[in-house]
Amino acid sequence: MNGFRKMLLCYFMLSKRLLKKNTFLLLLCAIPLLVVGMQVVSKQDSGMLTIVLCQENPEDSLSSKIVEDLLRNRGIINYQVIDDGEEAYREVVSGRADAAWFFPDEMQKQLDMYTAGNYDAKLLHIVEREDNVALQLSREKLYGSMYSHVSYSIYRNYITYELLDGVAPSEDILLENFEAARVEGDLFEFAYANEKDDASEAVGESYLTTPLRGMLALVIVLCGLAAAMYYLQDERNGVFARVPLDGRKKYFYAYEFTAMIYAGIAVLIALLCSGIFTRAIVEFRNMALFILATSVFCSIATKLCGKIQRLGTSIPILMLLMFVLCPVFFEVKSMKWIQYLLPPFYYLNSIHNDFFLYRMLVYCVALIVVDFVLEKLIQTKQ
Amino acid sequence: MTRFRIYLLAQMKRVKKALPAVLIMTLLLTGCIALISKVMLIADSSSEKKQKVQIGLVGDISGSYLGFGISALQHLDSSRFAIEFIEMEEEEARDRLNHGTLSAFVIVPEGFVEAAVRGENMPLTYVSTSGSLRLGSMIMNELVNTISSLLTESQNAIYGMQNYLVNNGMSDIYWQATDELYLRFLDFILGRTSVYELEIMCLSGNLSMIGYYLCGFTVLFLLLWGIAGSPLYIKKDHALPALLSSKGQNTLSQMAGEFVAYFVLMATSFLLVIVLVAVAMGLTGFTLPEWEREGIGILFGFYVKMLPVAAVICAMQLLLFELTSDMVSGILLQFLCALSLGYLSGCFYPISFFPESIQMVQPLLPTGVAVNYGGNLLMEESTAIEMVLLLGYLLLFLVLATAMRKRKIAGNR
Amino acid sequence: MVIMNIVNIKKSYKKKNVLNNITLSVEEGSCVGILGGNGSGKSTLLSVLAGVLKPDGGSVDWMGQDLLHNKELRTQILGYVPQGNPLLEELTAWDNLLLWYDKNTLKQELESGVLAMLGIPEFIKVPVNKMSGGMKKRLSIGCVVAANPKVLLLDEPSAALDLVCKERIYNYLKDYKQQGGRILLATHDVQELDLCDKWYILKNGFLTPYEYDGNVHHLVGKL
Repeated sequence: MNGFRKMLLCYFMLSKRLLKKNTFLLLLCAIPLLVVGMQVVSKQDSGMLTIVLCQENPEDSLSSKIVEDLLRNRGIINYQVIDDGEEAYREVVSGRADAAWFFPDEMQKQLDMYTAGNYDAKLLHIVEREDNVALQLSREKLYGSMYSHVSYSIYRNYITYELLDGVAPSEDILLENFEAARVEGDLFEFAYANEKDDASEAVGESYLTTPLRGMLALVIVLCGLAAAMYYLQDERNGVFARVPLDGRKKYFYAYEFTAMIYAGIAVLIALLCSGIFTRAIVEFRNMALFILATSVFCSIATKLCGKIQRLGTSIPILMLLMFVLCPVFFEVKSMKWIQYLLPPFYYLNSIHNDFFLYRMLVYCVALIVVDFVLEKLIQTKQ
Repeated sequence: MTRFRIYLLAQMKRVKKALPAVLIMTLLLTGCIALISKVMLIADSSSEKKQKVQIGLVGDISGSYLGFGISALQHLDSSRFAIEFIEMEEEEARDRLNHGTLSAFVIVPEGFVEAAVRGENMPLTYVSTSGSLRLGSMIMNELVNTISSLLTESQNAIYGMQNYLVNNGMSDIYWQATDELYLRFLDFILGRTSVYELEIMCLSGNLSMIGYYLCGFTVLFLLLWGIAGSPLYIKKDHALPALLSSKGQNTLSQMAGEFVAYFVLMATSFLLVIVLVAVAMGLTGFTLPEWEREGIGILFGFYVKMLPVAAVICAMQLLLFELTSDMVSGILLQFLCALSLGYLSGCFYPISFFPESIQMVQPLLPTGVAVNYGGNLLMEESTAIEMVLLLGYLLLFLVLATAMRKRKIAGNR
Repeated sequence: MVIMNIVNIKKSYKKKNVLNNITLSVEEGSCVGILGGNGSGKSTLLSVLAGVLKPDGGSVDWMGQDLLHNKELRTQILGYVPQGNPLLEELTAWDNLLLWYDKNTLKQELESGVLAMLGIPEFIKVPVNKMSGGMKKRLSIGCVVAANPKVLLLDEPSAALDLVCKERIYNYLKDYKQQGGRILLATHDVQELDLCDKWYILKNGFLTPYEYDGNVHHLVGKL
């Protein structure tokens, strides 16, 4: 009981001290700021690409349907509808838009000619500033939006010209047969490796908020590294002068846990507010393990660096490595061995895949062993 | 003036002593930024060499047109978003997904083919491992939606035609017509680029994405590099500035001396990075679209012209050093400023990805001005406005840093 | 005999009067001790005199000229040793001294001058970040006395130093005094009090003369 009270007292004293440090408060403030900022930004019109949609005739039925469909399923593209062709062109020239898609008048007629085999009758005119993967993707998306009309046109042309030698059956009969076989809905249903988790909500997420969990995880690591630096600073200032070298470890972890528990709670609240909180048990369990892994990781980093300056200098390097190699923005398939060394890699993957949770457990054990060996080596040296 | 010269000389000596450690940190930082660049370039590569996205296929779809479609996409499609479908057992798919050798896998439910024949939708399950959807996953999802549309709409048309044949007593040509229509769809899907006429402007005045990232990463590097300067410039006490003040060397002169030395240190580190990039460009033959007709020398020209940006970031970092009095706070403050300014200035995502409100703020931020200045340099456009803004920021940061120091000396009584 | 007269110096921070009409004089070859508890304003007084802080009022008279308003004269006359060490951590003692001395004078001083007396040649090639507290303090004094100041303003010069180091510094200060130098010393170290010829207590912003007779208990009661 006495030990527990002592531990609580230590926790409260360290908390009081940490919460008086402006930079630590700034770090904690970064969490709600990040969430609010990202949410505000994601609610405004934005896109990886800005594409101008220009109909030669805004009344044209087919092109209007396609434009409507594109606007309804924006995804990662920001569309601007401009009726004036020259203005649309100017938007691309000036760099305000990445591309412009020009839809012709009487598009249905042209589509029918195209599906009848007249490939020279180009359906659309596309103007792009430069060719890149994102624009290639956008063209695929455009084709996807048009395809339901293309497929029906192919179907009608085939029956009219190949089966009935140019005698067109009534549109009603064609439609009736087509609709009778129609498979409604999406072909694919999104899911995570954990079968209990629902992936459908995430599909509608903005690409600007997708890195949120990853960024928040990095803030926790940063808090851990900051706590390690505070510990080194205090050690240098003689705060632990009365504590034998082999007894200082528990103080280090007290610093780590105090800082990271605050950050962890702030992150969980932020996840809840931003709507990407999954199930409470999963979030708490994975966060606890992540904090443990990060604190041991910081302990090893502290032992390897030895000095505040070196640890501080290693922060941008470690953070950039985590930023790139852990699935924050990208999923890098190469350099797996470096990824396996970084705590956020396990945490971010474990949310929807329990396999990585077990891996994180093994990772923690491995880190603890390495930390212990390093501790012994340092003590022997001293 | 003599006092300034002596103080500057002393600062230069400090810089010289710190140089080896700073250069090591520069190399490591360059390595990390090169890593990001590589990832970005792979993501943006439109070459055929691009790594294929592998998707596992669990279940049997061989009897459906969907199966034919997937097979056709896999073997015949020249799309650069090359997706490789690999048939495998679910256990193997899960294992490969966990080990990162598979991006996702698709589970084809039992009875899928029969349901498709009946015109029922029995969705395929697309399983990914993501903790949350990342940009890459979102692009994948867009692709999956397009593929879904291509396959289901083709299938709808084929089954519609089959219905028509059965309902109109033409069952004798059922299989022949099915095959013909199927091949026609395949023809259209594979030749889908012929549906549009593509005009790529290749305007000489446009900044390429690679050029944009060069500017963004240069600014990001300079911002993060500031952490290396923390041990040199964060002062625990202000005894020396106080003494210098009492000896008649005012704080502006002190700050100017420190600024020049710090700038030399940053410029040297930056030069090292440029030399590394030049060597890499020489070895690989890689260049920016903006520099296609130029030699390696242009990189050094770019370096010289980017020095005003380095100067502004130096001054900003000196101000941050003055705002803190202990190492830990200084390092964290530098890092947080680097990240937030880098993000808002478009160093991570191109600024065109952001909403208009951020796009309006970006040109006003010092780092935003720096990114835009770099962009104009690459496009050989006028940099006069950016230069004036950079100069304004330089003076502002130096004045603020001087004022901060004055306040600190006064508080150091 | 030239006397430095400090007249009616005032300084306040956020409505708190830290220095209230401080008046005192420092004669040739004398050492004046300013005593006071922590936060009493001793360092502020020295900072004001050294020109680091601007006073709200008052003057420092030196041969009819106000040192507070004559920067050039002030830098010649006054040598200020702040509480911290005004040194560049990464550089050696030699490099730090070069901030204040020209090369030839420095060599001379190291051979037989003030710097030799302070024992600086022993650690001339040692970087500051590898020095002990005593070495740093001696080096700090060495830096300040470069321009042969007529008045030394010392802010707790021997705080937290070992006996040998203190002895070296005291010897130097005695010598400086004997040669006609004036010392204004802010301190709460009993040993340093013995160096002084006059004592003042700074309390609540007011300076009052004090006759120190070696009775520390009495002094403590006054602070």
